[in-house]
Amino acid sequence: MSFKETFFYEFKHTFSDIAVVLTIIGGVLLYFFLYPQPYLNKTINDLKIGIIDFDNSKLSRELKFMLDSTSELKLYGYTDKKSALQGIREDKIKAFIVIPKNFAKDIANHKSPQIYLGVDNSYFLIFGTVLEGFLKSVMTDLIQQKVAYSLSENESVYEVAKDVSGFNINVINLYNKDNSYLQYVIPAVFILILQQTMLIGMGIAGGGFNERYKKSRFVFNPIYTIFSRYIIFGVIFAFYLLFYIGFGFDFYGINKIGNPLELFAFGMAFLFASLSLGMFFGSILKERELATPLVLFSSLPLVFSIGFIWPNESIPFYIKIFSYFFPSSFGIDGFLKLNQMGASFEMVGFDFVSLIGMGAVYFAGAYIKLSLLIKK
Amino acid sequence: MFRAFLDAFVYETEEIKKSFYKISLLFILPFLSFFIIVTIFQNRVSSELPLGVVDFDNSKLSRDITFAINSSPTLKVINFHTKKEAFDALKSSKVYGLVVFKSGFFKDVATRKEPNLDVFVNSQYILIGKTIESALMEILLPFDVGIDVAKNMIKEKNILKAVSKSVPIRVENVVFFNKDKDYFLFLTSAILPSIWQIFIVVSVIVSFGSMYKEKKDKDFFSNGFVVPKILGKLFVYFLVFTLWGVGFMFYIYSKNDYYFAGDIGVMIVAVVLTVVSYEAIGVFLFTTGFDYARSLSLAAVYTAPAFAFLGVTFPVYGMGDFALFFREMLPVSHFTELFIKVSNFGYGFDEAIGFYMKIISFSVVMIFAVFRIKRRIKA
Repeated sequence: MSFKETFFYEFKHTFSDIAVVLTIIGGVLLYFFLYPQPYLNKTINDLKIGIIDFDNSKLSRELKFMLDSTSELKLYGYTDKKSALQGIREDKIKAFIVIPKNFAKDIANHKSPQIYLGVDNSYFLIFGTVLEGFLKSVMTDLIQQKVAYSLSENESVYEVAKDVSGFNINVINLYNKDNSYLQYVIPAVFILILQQTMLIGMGIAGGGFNERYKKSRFVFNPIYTIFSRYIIFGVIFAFYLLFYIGFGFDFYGINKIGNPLELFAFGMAFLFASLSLGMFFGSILKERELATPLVLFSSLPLVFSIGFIWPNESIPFYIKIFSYFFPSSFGIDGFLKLNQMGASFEMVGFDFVSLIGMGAVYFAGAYIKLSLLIKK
Repeated sequence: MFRAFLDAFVYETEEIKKSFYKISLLFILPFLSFFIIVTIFQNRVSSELPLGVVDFDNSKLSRDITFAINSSPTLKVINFHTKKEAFDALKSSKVYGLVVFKSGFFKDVATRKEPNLDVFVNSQYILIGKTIESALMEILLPFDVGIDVAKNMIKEKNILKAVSKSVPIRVENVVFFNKDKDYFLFLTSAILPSIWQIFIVVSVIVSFGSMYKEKKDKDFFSNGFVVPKILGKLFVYFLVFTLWGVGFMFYIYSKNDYYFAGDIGVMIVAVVLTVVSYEAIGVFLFTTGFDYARSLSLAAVYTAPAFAFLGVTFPVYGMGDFALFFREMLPVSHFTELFIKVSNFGYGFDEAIGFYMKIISFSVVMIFAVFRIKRRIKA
């Protein structure tokens, strides 16, 4: 077959295969819509916590009011620890606070009263929020108390304000100001989705090709076959890359601070590596139905071995080696740095070169496998 | 009828033995996936996360604080001489956070000017960012308050009174369950079931799909007993995946120092019901078109995103309406929720019934599947 004939052959078989079309068109769009769903509410508010007030003083009521007014917390009153614990058990509250008897009196007498904070740490990402919200509120209260107390000793308000703490801890959250989960997960997951759907699509196409070849050994040129599939899938997924990063990010309100030219270059390297892996993967599959399950099973292990959820420093090196066989590891790492953290191209140089190298290796692998197929 | 069930069971085991792929699906691949996940989280608490420090002050205070940060098992200090160096390191993820001591920091503290101590945290990696933030707060706050205590000592000349003047409210923090902020327990109890349900649905589709693709369905369903035969065919997978389910549960339980508030029997029943439901879903998905590859794509859309909807990494009360709806449609979300309630709160059979009902309700799709299979046989 000539190159033109090969190309049309590949084109015809790709688009007449419902499974491929479903995956590379329906799948990508569906995942684009589905994956961000849990995280649409950018920040989490109204965490239900219980409050038990044994003091019932003006101060304790002020503290309750202050806590209830924060958007992060929603307070429910309980009479005792036992019923509050039952509330946690029944999932009505996630934590509770106990204000002890004589709370206000102790503060007035320079005694340190103790507030009891019971937290359900089963879902411990919630713990962080509760503690944060609580501490902020308590510290604010603390300052106000001190001002009120010290004023009675005829000190000026400014003197007192300075008296409160040695220094201000000023926390600046970089790259993701609101600690938005969308910002955290979506940039990485979208890249992974592109790779996985490409792998499935090219896997089904390649497996189907192998099945047809087994039935009737037609003549083909491996190079023509490889380039044809590169063009077909490459164009589609280059479009998807632009769609995800252009429209997709804007749609979900994700930051974009990367240089478009650098992003494009990096994107092309990632595309090349993924196309090559897809080509190689397709060439080794005996049946087209093997593609979807094999790729599916690799998804969750891959997500966690990349190092953006669980840090690289804590992942055993042999697991990292597993992740290095996939373009997504270098792709996501480099892409996050370029687009979300404003890194320079030099900083992602290693990722860039690795992607191109990987692409070359898998290309060679696909060529060898297809050539061997002819020899048999 | 029982004979037909048994014959189908034996037939299926023979089919599996013949196919390395099917053996992998049942034994090798699940093992590999589980192994990778538990190994990733084996360092159960995040430790030695690199944190940059730029010290333009070079006072005893800044050095004491830096030393305290480095002594924390969670953090590891890397010193930088310039801000540019430090920020570049942040961008390239060589460090996940940065503490900057301005020049004259100690002097300002001593003269009560209350200077800012800037702490930069990479929040693109939320989990890592939060870990660093809370570790830093724990270390820095005592310094902050300590200075206050020292100042008050001059006035009060009595350490107790000085302390209470600085910190009028103490917080006794009691954490129920997962005291050590153990990521392992927290995440694996969600990730492992998520992987498990993918295998159940896929294995069942592969079983039926390959049979129809190889045109063996006519022979298989010859001489009736359609339902017992379907059940017999599925029984192999039922056994294998129930064992996997009970297996990973015991594994998690053993890693939690064998602490399990409730009765493990409650969860074994849940495992059984979940396997049954996912098998029903798998057969149903296949019978929507009797297209092997297409039903696998459908299975992928349904099972792959499940982890995100479990409410473990992102709380349920923070999810929108569609997300909550989709979540309800996944048996694994009810399974995981029950698992946490049984292992942490000690939920008993009576409290688990609601969850059992939700999980098993999905198996009703089997009725449609059987109907479609029978109709195809007649055609």
